[in-house]
Amino acid sequence: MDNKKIKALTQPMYYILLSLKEERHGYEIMQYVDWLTDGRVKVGPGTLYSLLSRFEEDGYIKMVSDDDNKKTYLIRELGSEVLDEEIIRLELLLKDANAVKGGNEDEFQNRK
Amino acid sequence: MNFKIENNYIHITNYPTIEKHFEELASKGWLINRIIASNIFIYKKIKPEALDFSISPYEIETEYTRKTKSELAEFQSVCESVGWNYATKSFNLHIYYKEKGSEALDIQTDEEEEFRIIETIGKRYLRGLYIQIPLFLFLCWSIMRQLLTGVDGMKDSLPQLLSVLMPITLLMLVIETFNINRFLKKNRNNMEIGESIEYSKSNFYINRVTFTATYILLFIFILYMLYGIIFLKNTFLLIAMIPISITLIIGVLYRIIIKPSKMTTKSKKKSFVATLVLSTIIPIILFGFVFINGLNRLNDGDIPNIEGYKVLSVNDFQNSTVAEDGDLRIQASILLPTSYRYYSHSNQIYERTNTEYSKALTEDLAKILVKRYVKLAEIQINRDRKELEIYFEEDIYNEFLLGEKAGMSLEDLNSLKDQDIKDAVETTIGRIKERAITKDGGGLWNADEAYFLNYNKTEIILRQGKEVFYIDATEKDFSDPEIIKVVKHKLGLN
Repeated sequence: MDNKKIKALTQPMYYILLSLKEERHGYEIMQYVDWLTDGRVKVGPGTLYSLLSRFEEDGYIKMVSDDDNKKTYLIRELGSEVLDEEIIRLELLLKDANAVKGGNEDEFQNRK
Repeated sequence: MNFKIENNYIHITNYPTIEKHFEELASKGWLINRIIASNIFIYKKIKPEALDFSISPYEIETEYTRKTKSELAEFQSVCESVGWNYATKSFNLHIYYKEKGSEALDIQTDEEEEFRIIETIGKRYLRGLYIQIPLFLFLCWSIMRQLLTGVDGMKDSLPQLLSVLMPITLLMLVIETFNINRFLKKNRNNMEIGESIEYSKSNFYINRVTFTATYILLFIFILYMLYGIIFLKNTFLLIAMIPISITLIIGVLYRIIIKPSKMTTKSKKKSFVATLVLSTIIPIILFGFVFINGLNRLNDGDIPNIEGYKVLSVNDFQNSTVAEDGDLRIQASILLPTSYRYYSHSNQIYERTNTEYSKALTEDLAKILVKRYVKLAEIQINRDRKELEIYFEEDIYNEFLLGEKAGMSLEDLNSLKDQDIKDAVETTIGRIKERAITKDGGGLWNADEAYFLNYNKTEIILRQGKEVFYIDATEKDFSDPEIIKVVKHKLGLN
């Protein structure tokens, strides 16, 4: 198993890992992401299954059951770490955006 | 007719173009039903409909893994849940359709991920191509050399057919390599700068034509093999199929059993290596077993029925019949439609004869065949070069090589001692050739062409019109009028 970390998650990657905080199968992941984002983010089956294969290979998720042609997945520790790092990154992005919106130009000019 | 067949080409570089093509055909009442080898498209008749098609890369097959049936079924079921109907697939490209205007979630919703899949597939194709191209180059060179210079190249249809098939296949491989590299490079740049994937809009005429030509030639090749095995009873052809058949069977078994299994990757890698080793060793062992046990022989008995064949046997030169074994091998090729060889030997009197008969398509081809036999005799003489060097260096006179085989006396050899060894060897080789390979200038045989191929004249090549005879017999001087009489009578020569 190759435990390398993906440097930055794309939107579908982020939402798939988020949805696998609970055990879910493929179609359920797609429905959950659609519901969570109010239809803003759509993950098609081709994109979904490609990412699920990749995450499983990289050790981010594991298959927990395989019944009736439905595989169920759950996030693993490594996947949770990657997700947490991404959330921190996004929070920092948001913090910086709010600082700019709040008007921090004077603070920048007077930083010395 | 409820189906139609089309020559087209689907590839990771052009599948959106093919989607449009399918839509066009669906509007005319044809739905894609099956794709064979990326090239043969089979459609089934439907009511003309306005359909949308989506071709999606999926199922990346590696050296060790392959999607199971249940994984493919799950993917198909999810695609159907979001509004698509499964049509067919071509290797890693899955084809879905829906009614135009009906709601359905796109199968691929992230272009970066789509390109990542395409890139992985493309790089795998390229790895295979980088191995195949040098291999095919070597095969092309080998076949052309055999075809243009060897005796076997004229007698055997295989090099004649392959001489057309191989260059076409090689061209296809080179074009494919170039196309994939260009596509991947362009789109890697596009992904970096946030642009969309750019696909080829080409009709791929070259690929389609070369694919079609390859299939036709392969079909002819298979027909020839069957003709050779069944009608000419050429068991050698049958045996030649053993290695490739076994390798294919082992490879297919690995692909359908090991690859999709739940074994760990480490175990699958070991199985992959074991497969490679077995598919090399087993054919070699079987091949060897067949030859050691003489299973390649045409005839069941010790003496085959040679009636009607223009060949000699050891008994033709005996006053009383001796125990004899014989091996008859029949070949046929485009250039030499009739060709066979009979090897007769007797352990009772320790003699043998070897007759190779060929009837060429034209007299010019027969003349070329004679030249090749002569050339072969010269090559045999050249093989003695290394031994001659040793003899000159160590001052040895080999009675057999130089005396019996070439009529070079000790005095002849001593006269060359003062020369540089390499020059002396070249001079000796030249003399051996002059003395060994001689034309029947005296009209002993009264043939259109006749050459003695060794000093003792126990090897001869004859041509009468389109017919060519190569004869090699133990201690039979083919310049002896008595021997000539026996041979002419037996072979039906004037």
